[in-house]
This record gives sequence, C-alpha cells and structure tokens, in this order.
Amino acid sequence: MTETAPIIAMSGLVKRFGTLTVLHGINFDIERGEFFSLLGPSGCGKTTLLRILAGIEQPSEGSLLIDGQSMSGVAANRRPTNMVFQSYAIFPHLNVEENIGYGLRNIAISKSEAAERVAEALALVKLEGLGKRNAHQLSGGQRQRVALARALVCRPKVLLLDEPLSALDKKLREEMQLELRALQRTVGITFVFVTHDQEEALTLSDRIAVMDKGHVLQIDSPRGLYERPVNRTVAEFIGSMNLFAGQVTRVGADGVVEIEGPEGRFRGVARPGLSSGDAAVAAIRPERIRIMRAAPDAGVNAVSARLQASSYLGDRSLHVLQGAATGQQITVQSGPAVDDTPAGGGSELWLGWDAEAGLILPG
Amino acid sequence: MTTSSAIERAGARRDPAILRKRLAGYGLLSPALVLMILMLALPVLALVLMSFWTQNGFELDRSFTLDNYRQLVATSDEPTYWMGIPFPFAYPVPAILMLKSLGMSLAATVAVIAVAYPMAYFMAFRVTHNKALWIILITIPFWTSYLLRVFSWKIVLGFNGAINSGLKYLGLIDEPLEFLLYNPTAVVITLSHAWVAFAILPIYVSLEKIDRTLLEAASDLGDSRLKRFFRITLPLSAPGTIAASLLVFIPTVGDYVTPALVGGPGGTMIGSLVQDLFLKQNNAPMGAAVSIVMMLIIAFLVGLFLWAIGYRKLRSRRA
Amino acid sequence: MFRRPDFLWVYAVIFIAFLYGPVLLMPIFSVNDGNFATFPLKGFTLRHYSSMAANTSMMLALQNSLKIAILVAVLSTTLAIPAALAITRFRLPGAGPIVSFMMLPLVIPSIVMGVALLVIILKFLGIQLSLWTVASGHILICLPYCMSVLMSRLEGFDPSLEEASRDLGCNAWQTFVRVTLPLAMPGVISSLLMGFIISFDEFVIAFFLTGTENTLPVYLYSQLRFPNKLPGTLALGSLILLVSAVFVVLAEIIRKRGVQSGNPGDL
Repeated sequence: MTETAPIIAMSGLVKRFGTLTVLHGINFDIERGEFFSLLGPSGCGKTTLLRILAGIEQPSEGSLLIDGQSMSGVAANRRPTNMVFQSYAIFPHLNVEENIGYGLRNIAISKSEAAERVAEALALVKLEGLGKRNAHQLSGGQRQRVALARALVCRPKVLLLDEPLSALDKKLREEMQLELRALQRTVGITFVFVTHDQEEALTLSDRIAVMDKGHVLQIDSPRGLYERPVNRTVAEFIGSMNLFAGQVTRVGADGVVEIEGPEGRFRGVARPGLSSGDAAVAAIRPERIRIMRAAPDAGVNAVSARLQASSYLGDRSLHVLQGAATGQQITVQSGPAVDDTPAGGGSELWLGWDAEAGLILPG
Repeated sequence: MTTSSAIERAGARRDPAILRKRLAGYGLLSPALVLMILMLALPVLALVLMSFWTQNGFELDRSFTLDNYRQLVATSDEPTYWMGIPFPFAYPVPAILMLKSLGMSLAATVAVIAVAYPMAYFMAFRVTHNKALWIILITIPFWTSYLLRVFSWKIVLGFNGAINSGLKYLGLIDEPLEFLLYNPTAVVITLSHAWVAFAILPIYVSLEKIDRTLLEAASDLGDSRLKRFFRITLPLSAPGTIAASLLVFIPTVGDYVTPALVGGPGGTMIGSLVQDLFLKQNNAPMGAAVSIVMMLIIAFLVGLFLWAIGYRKLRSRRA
Repeated sequence: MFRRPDFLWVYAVIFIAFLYGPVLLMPIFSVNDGNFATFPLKGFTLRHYSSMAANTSMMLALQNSLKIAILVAVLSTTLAIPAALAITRFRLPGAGPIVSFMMLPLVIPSIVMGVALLVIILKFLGIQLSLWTVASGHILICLPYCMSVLMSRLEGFDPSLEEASRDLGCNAWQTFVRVTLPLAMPGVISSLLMGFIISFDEFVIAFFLTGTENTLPVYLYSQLRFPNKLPGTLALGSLILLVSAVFVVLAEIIRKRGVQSGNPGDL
C-alpha cells in the first residue's frame, strides 16, 4: 500500500432503487488527505454516493476500494470510515461523553485510553467541560461538534460528512466552515463532504465533484470549476454566469472560438470539440463585465443593454440589465469604488469584456 | 421549567387577560373533571371509609374500627403453608391469594412482554406497506369482549374442549387431558392471551419513534446488528415497554373473571375473594379492606419497580 | 448481499394465528350441528342463531346493553371534547397531574372500581342499582379513552388554523364550530365508537352495578354455567365478536382519515 495511492477508488458504481437509477456509473478517485466535496442540487445522488462509501447502502454494480481493499460485501460497521449525519444522530439516551465514546467500545482499547481519547476529542471540537451534558441540553452548533468528535475519535481513514452545516444559521455556518477546514488540516485525514451550497464547497475543498442527476459532470479544484467549467450546467451551478446563445462561426488553432448570436458576436476560450455551425453559448462572469456609456471599438464581446435595477451590497454592487436584442437578463457586478457606475434606471449602456475572460461552452 | 413559562406564570398573576383565559380553560375542563372526582375519588374514599366499618349479619355497623385490618394481619401460632411458604396469619386466605395473584400476574406480564415485543418489533421494522392493516389486526382482539376471549380458552382447554376432542379425534390420546383447565397455569395462559394485544401498542409506538438514522450511526460506529439492538433499540424502547408491563400487570392482579372461568378451585386470585366477600358473603367492609390493601400493595410494588429502574433518569434523558 | 432468513415474518404469522385462534373457535362451533364445542365437527347449521331471536331474556339484555352503550358513548364524548380542548389549547398549570388523574381508571383493576362504586351508590347514597348505575360506571371508564383519542386528534393538527380563524374575525365559539369541530370530527366519531364498544362489552362493573335488569355480557356470564345452552351462548358470542370487529375497523378507518401527521408513532 503506497502512500501515494488514492484512498478511495470507485469504478463503475451504479445504484438503482427499483426501476429508478440514482447513480449512473461513477468513476473517480479521492486522494489521501484531501478535503473533497460532492456538490450538486437535491436529487443528484451525492448523498447516495456518500452512503455507499459508508456502507449504509450497497451499490447495484461496480467496485469500491478504500485504502486498496475492496468493500464489496463489507458491512458499514466494519469499514474504516465514519460519518457525520445531517441530523447529527446524537443518541438521546446517552450524554456527550458516552456519545463521543460510543464507537470506542468496538475497538480493542483500554478504558483509560478510551477516556483519554474522548477528552482529546472534546478539546479538539472546543467542548471541554460539557462531557456530562445530556443530548437535549445542547444547542444545534454543539450537537454538530459532538457528532464530529464522535466520528473523529475512532480515527477513521476517511471522514464522511453529509451536509453537516445545513441546519445552522449563516453566521454559525461560516464560523464552522473555517473550523472544519482548520480541523481537517490538523487531523490530516481525508474528508468527503456533501453539500448543495456551492459557496461552501468552494470555501472548503481541495477538489470538488459536481454532480447532476446521477452523473459526475466535472471534478476539479475550486478555481478550475469557477474559471473553466466544462459545460453549461456546471457553469450555471457554480457562482452566477451570463450566457449568450449563438452558433460557432470560427474555431481558432489557439483555442479561441468565435460565435454569433442575436445579442452579437462573441469570442472566448473553449475546450476542443467544437466545430463550425455547432450551437454554443458565450459564458462570462458578472464581475468580468465592464459597463460603458458608448459602444466599444472591438465590435466583439459587446452587448447593448438597458439598466433595470441596481443593488448595493457594501463590498460590491449588482446590476441587472436587459439585453437590447432579446431582452434576456444580464447580471453585472461592480466593485465598491468604481468610476463607471451607471447613471440610473432605464439608462442605455454598453457591456464589454475581454476574450480571455470569457468562455465558449457547448450548448 | 423554561424561563418563558416562569415569566408567563409571573405575568399571569398580574395580567387579567391571561387569568381570564385560564379560567375559561378550567371551565371547559370542569364538567369532566368534576365527574371524575365524583365517580373516582369519592367512591374510593367511600371504600376506604367502608373498610373501617363492620358487617354483623344483616346489619352494617358504622362505628369506626380497625377490626377488618386487624383480622387481616392477626397472627396465629400455626402457620399455614402454601407452596412451602409459611403464612403465620389467623386468616391466611387473603395473604396467600395476594401472593399467588402477584405471582400469576407477574408470570403473565413477563409472558406478555416476551411475546409482544418481537411482534411490535416486527411491525415497526419489518412492515413497510399497509402498517395500518397490521395495527387494525392487532387492535381488534383487544377491543372485543374480554369475557368472550377468556371464555374461548375455556372451550379450547376444557375436558371436552377443542384440544382434547381434537387430539382424541386424531387418535393421539385416548383419555382427555385433565391438566389443561382449572388450574393456575390455565389462568396465566388465558391472561397472557387476553392481554397481549394491549401490550403491543405502547411497545410498537416507542419502537416506531426511534430515529432510524440513530441506528445507521451506531452501525457506522462499529456496532453489529445484535450489539446495536442492545445498545440503541432496547434502551430507546424501554419507556414503552415499561408502560406496557404496568398496563398489563396492574389490572391483572385484581382480575376475577379469568380465575372464575378457567381457574377452578386451584386457580383463584385475590379478585375472586373480593367478589366473594362482597356478594356471596355480604361482607362489604371486609371486602373493602381487602381491596384497599391490594391497591396499596400494588402501588407500593409499582413505585419500587419504577424507582429501581431509575425512572426519573429515563424521563429526563428521553426529552 | 446475504439474505437472513426472516424469522420475524414467520413469528408474526404464528402470532396472529394464536391471537385469533381460540377466539375464532367460537364462530366455528356456533355453526356446528351439535350441542357441545368438540371436534369432530358435525355439520353446518344456523339453528343456534335462529333460536336466539326467540330468547326473550337475551333480547332484553341486548336492548339494555344498546341503550346504555349509546348513552355512555354520547355522554363520554360530550364531556371529553371540552376537557380535551382545555388541555390541548389552554396552557393550564397543573395540566399534567390532572390528566394523569383522569387516566387513572385505565390502571385501576375494574373490580376495585366496581366495588367502590357499589359501596358509594348502594351503601352511602342508598340509590337502587339499575341500568343508570351501570351507565354511570361505564362513563367512568370510557372517559379516559375518549379523552386520549380526542387529545391526540386535537394535538395533531396545525394550531395556526384556529389562529387564522380568529384573525379573520371569528370568536372562540365560531372558531370551534367552523374550524375545530370539523377537523376533529374523525376523533369525535372514533370516540363515540370506542365509547360504545367499551360499554357494550364491559362486564365487571356491569356485574356489580346491575339491578334486576341485565346487560348482555352479564346475561352471557350467567349462561356459561349451563352446558346445554352452550351453542346458543356461542352464537351470541360470535355475533358480539363480529359486531365489535366491524366497529373497531370502522373506528380505525375513520380515525385515520385526515390524520395529516407523518410523525412516526402516531397511530
């Protein structure tokens, strides 16, 4: 078992419930020590995949290796994984210490060592002194920490987290995100994290797998997903994205592709595979668009639009405009100190951006 | 008590609107409550009072006396033996019957819980469709006449009953089995059968309420199925199981229908004595005294039992 | 994935068989052409049933039971509705102990209640035993059941429905009539049916509190001593069983209709 081999290797994993196929052939690896997220909308299969890793569900087809060992036929209680459940699943008839120490009764260690480990875990999640509290006396955030401590104290090879922060309010959630990240770095084990919140995934992860309807669309670093989404679905799911439809007119050797559509001509970076005449979309992030009062010289990547509304958000402003040709909604984000802030509602303006800033995606 | 209800209480003393609302609430409650007080508390008090009187032939002597109770505890030099246990009482019948009834009820309760629990478990964890159907199936016998359910066992166990005639017909026996009916065992079997449906529902409800993710978490943390049952399922279903055992034990101690129909002379219980004292012997005061003592003993045992299992601890943990 | 032989299913089936077995023997022998409840069966007949109609004392007892049961069902439910409302809708201090007190009849052996009532009615108040005394005893034991059925029904639906009604201008009584009662109706019907069955089938308290007129279970008990009347008794018993079963199924179905909650454990 080399230290560089992936800790989780999935090949051809399929899961069916009756006639419904929830996972269509999942193939990828997760590396040791990674903070890896499964990201997607409800129903995309991410939680099912997590539960297959945990052993709570069995795949209909395919193979799963954890640290090189096949998990086929291996029940949940014998796997080197531990899970933090979405509802935390704190045992109501046990106190905090008994909850955290629960899994230690299944490992061959002495009582004193178990007590030590529990104390260590309590300190790790900053719940010292609360060992004797009962489950119902804990706040939501405290219960989340107990669930975390309970899973970590067993020293699993992989920690699985099923949307553990979704029940917390915004402020607490952001705090916990930072703590989780720090915790993972301290403890050093592989985290597999399920979430539907793309901001959360971007904040926490080393790599993210974007899933939709049982398929994995793209696996990449947060930056890779944000700046180089592989298709329209991923582009729209991560952050917000403006899309202008058209047909491919020119494919350049340097990867720059030009398309033409109702709102104008657009040039951007594209992955290989597009040919002249294909339907495509020009994708540009709201913060990469410049607002101008007059049409730019280039004639490419320029859209005429009318301002609908602006929102001031403190660190940035968001503007909603309507494209002159089709009336489609365009979102533009401008920074706090900007000199080309538009005048007022109803103004006719021009939007422009550089070719390197935009993408051409199949669509 | 949370701070909000404490504040509410304090506020109520001053706020007329809350007071008025409370009064309205009590007003709604009062007809039923008054009825219960009249029909439950008063009769029991009357019973207590009656136990301090004596019956002389046809006359009811209303002078206060502890004679009935004295009679119950009066000792004698020659103890009566029952099942090897000495009863040093001059009037040992009530004490013997009390112990016998407690024993039989305990046996029936244990049997009922042992039989009902797997069934409740089955309904909570194995049945996925048509749960309502199973619940109805379980509930029907419980609501139909107790008398008839007991009586049907008489038919089954009797000398010419179903088992005997069936076995004879099949040629397995020549003479009818005599030991089936008219003894304490028959009473215990009949009691168990009559009350088992009663026990399933509370156990089922507490099993059903168990959050399934707790079981998944236990597996995830390394428990085998069996270990998980003992560490999670059993403790979390304890309140329902305890409620079921009390719901069976307490009423069966005082039962007299079952002993009357299937107990024979050997299978009498304390309830039979009470009925006898009131009706045949026309000694209501003594019957009252025996009833009161019976109730006190039951209450004491139940209290002991609940204390022993740390009832308060259970309640506070369950939240 | 291995399949554990599911012994629980086998257990469940055997359990149901034993639960119903002895009880089902009654209808079987009631149509048996013989005078004893023994095997082998002698052939099918309905004569035991037809002779029931001619049995006047039984018919009388049946009438009495019906009268009492209907009265008890209606009165218990009428008393239980405001009580259940009070407990679930008003936050009354002392509600816990009060409810526990009202549930006491469930755990007190019926013989104790029977004799206690006998004592107070006969010896203290000097009232003659009659069907009325039986009815009053039955109300005592039906009330806890009716209350718990109604309380669970009233707790089961969204309190903001009543708040909305008040917000739209209805006073307490109107809200009760237009919102609460219709929504609680399955519980009310269930309570009526339950009260009816409990009273109709009840033996012990009736035994102690009847005067010269019998209820059906008391009549049944008196017949059990006569072996030659056995088939007639069986026929009667089977009919009672059938009627009770129908009532219970009805009560359950009605109670379930409109139970919104998806909470586990809500029957």
